[in-house]
Amino acid sequence: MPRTTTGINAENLRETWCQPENVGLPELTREAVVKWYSETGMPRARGVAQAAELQKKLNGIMPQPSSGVVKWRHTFGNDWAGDPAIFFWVTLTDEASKKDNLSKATEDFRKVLCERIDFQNDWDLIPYFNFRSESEQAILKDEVYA
Amino acid sequence: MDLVDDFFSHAVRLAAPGKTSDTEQIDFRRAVSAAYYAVFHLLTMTAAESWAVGRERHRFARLFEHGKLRAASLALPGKLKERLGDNASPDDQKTADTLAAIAKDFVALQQDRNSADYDNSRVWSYTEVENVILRARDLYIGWNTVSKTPLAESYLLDLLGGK
Repeated sequence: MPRTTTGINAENLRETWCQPENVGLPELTREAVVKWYSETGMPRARGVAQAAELQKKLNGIMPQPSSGVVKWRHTFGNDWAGDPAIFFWVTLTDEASKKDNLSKATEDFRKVLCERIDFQNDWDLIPYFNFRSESEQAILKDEVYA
Repeated sequence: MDLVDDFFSHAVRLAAPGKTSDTEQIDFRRAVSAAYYAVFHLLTMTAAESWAVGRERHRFARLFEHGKLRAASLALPGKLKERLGDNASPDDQKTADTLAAIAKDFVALQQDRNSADYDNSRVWSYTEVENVILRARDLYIGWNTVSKTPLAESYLLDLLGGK
C-alpha cells in the first residue's frame, strides 16, 4: 500500500490500532477487518449468525430466480452506515444487460428475492443488489461475481 | 428543478457506453454519485418548497443529512403501516407501495454513492452504473406520481429526523 500524504500506511495503521491485548490483524484487508470486528462481541445479524439457515432459503431459489440471470452469489458485510448487509452479485446475459432490458431484468431478480425472503425483518440484513453483464465479467474477472 | 435535471444529465453523460479512455472509472464513479445527488436534491428540494419563507428555502434544504434520510427510508415501511391503518383505500395503498419502493431505491442509491466515492478497490462496469441511473430514474418517476400526497409529505418530514 503506498504511503499517503498523511504518512499513514497499512503498517503503521496496524501498529497504532492493534494493541497487544487485541486480536492481531493478519492483513489490513476489508475482509480481515470485518472478521475481526465481528468477533469483538458485537451482536450479529440473524442472517450472519444463522447463515446456514439463510443459505437453505436461498438454495430454494436457485439456480435461476428470474430470466436473464447467468449466475448469482452473495457476500455478507456492512453497508456504509455499519449496518449488517447482504450483497448480491448478479451476472446477467448480455441480452438482459442491454439498456432496454436491464430495468426489467434487475427488478425481476430483486422482486423474486425480496418476495421470498424478508431480509430486513427476518434476518436483520439490508439487501443490496449489483448487476453486471457476462461479457463485462469475462473482462473484469471480479471475484465477488465469480 | 434545474439542479436535479442537471445531476441526471451529468450522470447519463458520464456513463455513456463504449468508452475506452483512461477516465472511464472516474467517470463511472462520478456518474453514480451524480445519480444519487439527483434524488437527494429531488427529495430535499421538494421538502423545501413547502417552507413558507421563499428566500430561506435553499437554507432549509441544507438541513437534511444523509444518515437521517437513510434511517427514515429504512423505517418507512413500518410507518406506512401505522399511517394507513387497517382500512386503507386502494389509492392510499398504491401510494404507500410507491413510497416504499422509493425508500428502498433511495437506500440502495446511497450505498452505491458511498461505494463509488469511497471504495477505491471497486471496479465499476457500465451495466452496474446504468442500473444505478435507471434506479434513480425510477425513483424520480415514482416520486412525481406521489409527491403531493399526505403520505409523501409525512415521509419528507421523516427525512429531517426526529420523532
